[in-house]
Amino acid sequence: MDFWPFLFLASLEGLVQAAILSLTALGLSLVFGVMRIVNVAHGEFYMLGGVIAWSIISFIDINPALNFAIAIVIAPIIVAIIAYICNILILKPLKYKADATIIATIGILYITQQTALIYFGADAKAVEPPLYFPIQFPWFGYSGYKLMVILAAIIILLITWYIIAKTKIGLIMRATQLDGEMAQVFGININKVYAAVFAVGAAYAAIAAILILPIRQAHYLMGQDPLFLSFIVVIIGGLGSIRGTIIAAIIIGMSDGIMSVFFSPTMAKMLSTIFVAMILIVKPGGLFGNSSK
Amino acid sequence: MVEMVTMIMPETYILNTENICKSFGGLNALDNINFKIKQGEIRALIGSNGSGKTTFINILAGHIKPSSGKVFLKNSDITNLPPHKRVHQGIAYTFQITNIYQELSCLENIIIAINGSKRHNNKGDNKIINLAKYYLNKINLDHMFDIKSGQMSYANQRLLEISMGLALNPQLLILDEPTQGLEPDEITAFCKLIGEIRKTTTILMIEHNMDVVMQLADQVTVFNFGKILAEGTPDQICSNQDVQSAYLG
Amino acid sequence: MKYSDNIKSISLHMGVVTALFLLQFILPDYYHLTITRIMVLSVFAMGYNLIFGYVGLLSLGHAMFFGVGLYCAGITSYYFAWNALEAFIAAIICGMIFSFIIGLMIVRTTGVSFMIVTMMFSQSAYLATLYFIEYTNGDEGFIIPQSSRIFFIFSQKIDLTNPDIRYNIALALLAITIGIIFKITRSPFGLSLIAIRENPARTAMLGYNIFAIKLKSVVISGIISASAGGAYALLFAYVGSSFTSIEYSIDVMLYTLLGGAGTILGPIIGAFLMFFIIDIISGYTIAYMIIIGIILIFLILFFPRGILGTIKDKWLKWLP
Repeated sequence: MDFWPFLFLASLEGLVQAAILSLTALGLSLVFGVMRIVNVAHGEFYMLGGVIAWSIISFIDINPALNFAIAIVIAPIIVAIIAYICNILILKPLKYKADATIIATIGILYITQQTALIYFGADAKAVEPPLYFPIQFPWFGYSGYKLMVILAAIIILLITWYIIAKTKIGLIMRATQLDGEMAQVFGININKVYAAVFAVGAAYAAIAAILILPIRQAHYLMGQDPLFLSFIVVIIGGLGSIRGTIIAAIIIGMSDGIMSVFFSPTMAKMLSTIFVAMILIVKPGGLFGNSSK
Repeated sequence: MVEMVTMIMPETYILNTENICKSFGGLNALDNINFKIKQGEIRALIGSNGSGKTTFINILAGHIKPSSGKVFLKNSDITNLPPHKRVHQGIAYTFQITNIYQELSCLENIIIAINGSKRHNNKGDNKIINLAKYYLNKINLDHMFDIKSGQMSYANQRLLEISMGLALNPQLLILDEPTQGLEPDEITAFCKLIGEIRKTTTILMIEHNMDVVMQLADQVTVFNFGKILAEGTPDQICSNQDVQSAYLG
Repeated sequence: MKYSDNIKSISLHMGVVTALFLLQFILPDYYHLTITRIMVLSVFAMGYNLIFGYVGLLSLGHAMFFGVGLYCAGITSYYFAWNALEAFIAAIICGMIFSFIIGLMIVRTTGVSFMIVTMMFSQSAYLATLYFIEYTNGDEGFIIPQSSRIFFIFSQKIDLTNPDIRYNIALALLAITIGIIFKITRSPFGLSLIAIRENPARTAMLGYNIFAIKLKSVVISGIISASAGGAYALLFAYVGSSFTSIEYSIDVMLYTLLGGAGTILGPIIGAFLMFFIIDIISGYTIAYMIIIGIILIFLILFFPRGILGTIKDKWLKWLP
């Protein structure tokens, strides 16, 4: 293949990666932005989404499209309920203190990951794409499903933007994000907001995982890389900023593919990790702002 | 008393500032403050909320950097010194909101201050403990040395806060609203304590209680909209027309 | 602070060391190796505890300091054929330099940023061990040659392949670390660490250079952790990248939390307990790490002060 078609292909792959990443990172960013907590278990909600969707699909087993449609509705709801329960039982009693919650979410990470290992085993499990229609470009054929993933992500992001910017729910969220105490004075029940945001944040991760399921496979460790990349995206994008998160997700998602061409994947990861750490050091107040207390 | 100090040390300012300005995002919180305080003096800063007095003492303590201007301690420029070095030079600052180590004992609170100041020659555990007990004795809390400071009454916590300032062995002690939240009899005790402290230390305090100001201060400085509106003895200030219209109402 | 308390706590720590010394004559041989391992990990946990328990800095990446000691000792003995003593000293020096450089950067951050930055640096260190697979052999790791593990001090032969010697070397390292931490907690420096944990803003206004004190504590913690890493490599003759992973950083946090952060003996108790709990659980399931998650959540919800911390609060106030 020539250079330009190759770059085109790489960009398409990068866009798929960016689509998945922006959904996952958006969930993390919402949780951090509104609740001021770092959810280390976010990657595990992603994993749960994938693994639960796989179970639903193999349980129903009617036809690929219908299986998938049911899974993508039900699995995120189940994940959201699990997240809701985690929040009520663990995070709320900790009063959302920064260090206590980070330790607690590490605990949630271990428990979910290991539970998945017990029930689903250590093997990766594949899912059939819900639709097959290869799109023929002049130079290569490309999976229509992958384009669907990009489209789906765009639609979800637009809906999210609409809810946050234009509706009353969004207003309540933004008020809580700006100043929790103030929001309470105005009669907002911030505990309810937190519970909802935590559940929805987890659902975003779950949806992202289900969308990627037909491309990659379900595995009990599938949440590790998305967690890591989401952290990078959220830090670079600025916290709680949806626009920043999405822009950063596109840059990271696209460059992830391109970086791997120039460096080994390990080297690429290493450099980006150090880079992000340096951002936090140089601008400790700028990005994580008031969270230090 | 004021006259006496003036006679002994005619031109010694323990602290003075030159054209201090501070703006927060275009807003002038302080505008060209030239402030002088003599050794041995008790100076009160008064002014309504937002008049700039808190910003000013935060600049003296090193919490905030001025936008322009200079701060001198005994004629040496300390404008760029970080807070901890100013403490070593002898500027002590006590917080408006009581800010002690609630989880630690009174004795430990004082010892931390003594160790931090670098202004004591005492070395060795026992000497430091004795010194700490001496400072607790000054505020009549020596019997409580073993108690978690957070478990004491609010008034005692305030006293401990001041005592920690003293334990820094300062040349200049800055008190931010020391009598806030105290009962009348506690205020009387506080005034007595300041009378003791002034023998060794210059005192600069923000104070809203005018009775306390009248009783303690040698000089009063009135802040208004980021500027010094007036300066003088408490009596002069009380009879000053500008001050009356702007502050005392 | 009382004189009698001093006597009590000194005798307590001497007692613990003596008990561990006597244990080797009672326990069956099988346990010697396990206890040796736990003692080395306890040293690591005590290093971690210095900044987590005393300064209140929650590091999620302490495995990098352990890893520096581990790889430094491993590489110098494997590639340069340095003997164990030389390699151990190299590990300590590397640990000091590395923690100083990392400290200069991480100490600028506080709160959540500190946790994430330590995690990220540690992850980079882990990735580095995979990237330089040519030398480190990545996950598989490498074995330190026997020749490096026998050396002479004052013409006295010391053979690290001998289990009894290993046990007592680990015990000596543990005893020295207890001594160092004990000394620190009794010093003005130790009190300043607690002051920073309790109220950083106030502490700066009492004449303390917060940055310098935090940096110093990170360096001491780094040296202790690296010494544990170096000792681990040399005593057990194995070096692998899993020792620098995030999981390893979490483990050491768990030991400290379980035993009681901010107490001298807490991390040791935590390390012993966790080791045996995992030993028992892993007999039943491959997903034994689930127990780590459950204990983490249980501790943070109901026992944030850990075992010794709770005992200290309730009964033994003099416990350092």
